[in-house]
Amino acid sequence: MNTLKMNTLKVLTTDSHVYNVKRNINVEEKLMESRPVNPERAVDQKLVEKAQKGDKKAFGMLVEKYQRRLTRLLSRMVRDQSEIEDIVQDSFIKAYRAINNFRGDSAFYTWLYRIGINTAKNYLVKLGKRPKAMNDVEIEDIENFEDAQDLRNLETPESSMMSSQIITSVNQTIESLPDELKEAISLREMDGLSYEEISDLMNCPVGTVRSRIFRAREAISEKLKPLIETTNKRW
Amino acid sequence: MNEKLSSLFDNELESHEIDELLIQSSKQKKKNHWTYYQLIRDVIQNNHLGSDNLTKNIIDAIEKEPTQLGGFGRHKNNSIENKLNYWPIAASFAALFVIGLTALNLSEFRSIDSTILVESDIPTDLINDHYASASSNVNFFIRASYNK
Repeated sequence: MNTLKMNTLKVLTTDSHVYNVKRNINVEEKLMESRPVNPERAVDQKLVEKAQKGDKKAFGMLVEKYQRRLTRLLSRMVRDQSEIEDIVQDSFIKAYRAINNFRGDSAFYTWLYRIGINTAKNYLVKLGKRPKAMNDVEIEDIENFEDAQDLRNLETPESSMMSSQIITSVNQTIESLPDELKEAISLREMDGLSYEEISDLMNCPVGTVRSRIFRAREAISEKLKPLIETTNKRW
Repeated sequence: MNEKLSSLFDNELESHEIDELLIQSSKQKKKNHWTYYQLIRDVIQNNHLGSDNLTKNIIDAIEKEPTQLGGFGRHKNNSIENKLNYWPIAASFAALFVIGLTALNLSEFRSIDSTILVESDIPTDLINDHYASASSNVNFFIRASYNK
């Protein structure tokens, strides 16, 4: 605020100061550009921008990406699975309604998680309940929470059966893949290596890595398609 | 297109490629493979929890929401630039006002001056003669009708 006032005052005085203000803004933009950008955050930012322009599909991609992580997070606060699902859905709707207020000052998932936690807290307050495990857990700790054990306990028999079918199908398809595809997808998904790191390990160009990972995913997707379409109809 | 989507899923696309892909993707009516890629990742990383119906429910609920349209971020910079854009207009109006006011004052001053000059320099007899022979004067019309 003070900076803004100072800049405005400078503008009022002389033309040279106008130049100074403009130059300061440009320098800030350059600094922002030169900062190392987290690639995941950059992709999320693009999807958010598209959603802000009315592209619901882009927001849907963010839902697909973060739904399970948000569910995992909230399962630490709320016991009942149906309650968790309601809160998660509510959180995403709130996030969508407020998407134009998201300015990219934080990562999208940090913003979304805050909405999720506040929604859960309000929900529990309404019901006169206390959060299950955490009251003042730092958001950074929550983001690093990767254990899915809590959620596995929340599965219904039907969802559990569906899960096992999907898992079997994915694992069987991976086993049947040619070695170079299997290796590429494993290095990417299990070890979390970048395309460049995989290209060094597999001694092939980055473009080949890109293509191998894609082909592996397509092969698994084709096997999953009938299974998912049937289960979606069942739902 | 799905190969680029796969790269986007791994955060391995350049910024301009992301833009192109998202434009293409939003035009495409067919559902893309993003869902499957996410599912495959969850299974491989042992995070799959059979909650795919929740994702579907959320997306259906979002579809029912009114489309959110609005500008994107960086309001601070924009507001400064907007303020800077208004200054020349405000300055122009101020300048016009000052010039107008000055011109008005000058013209009033000149008209008063010129009246004083006329009254002081021309002899009274001549002024009276002028009034007597002027076409607007009643005397003129009387004389004209008398001559007829």
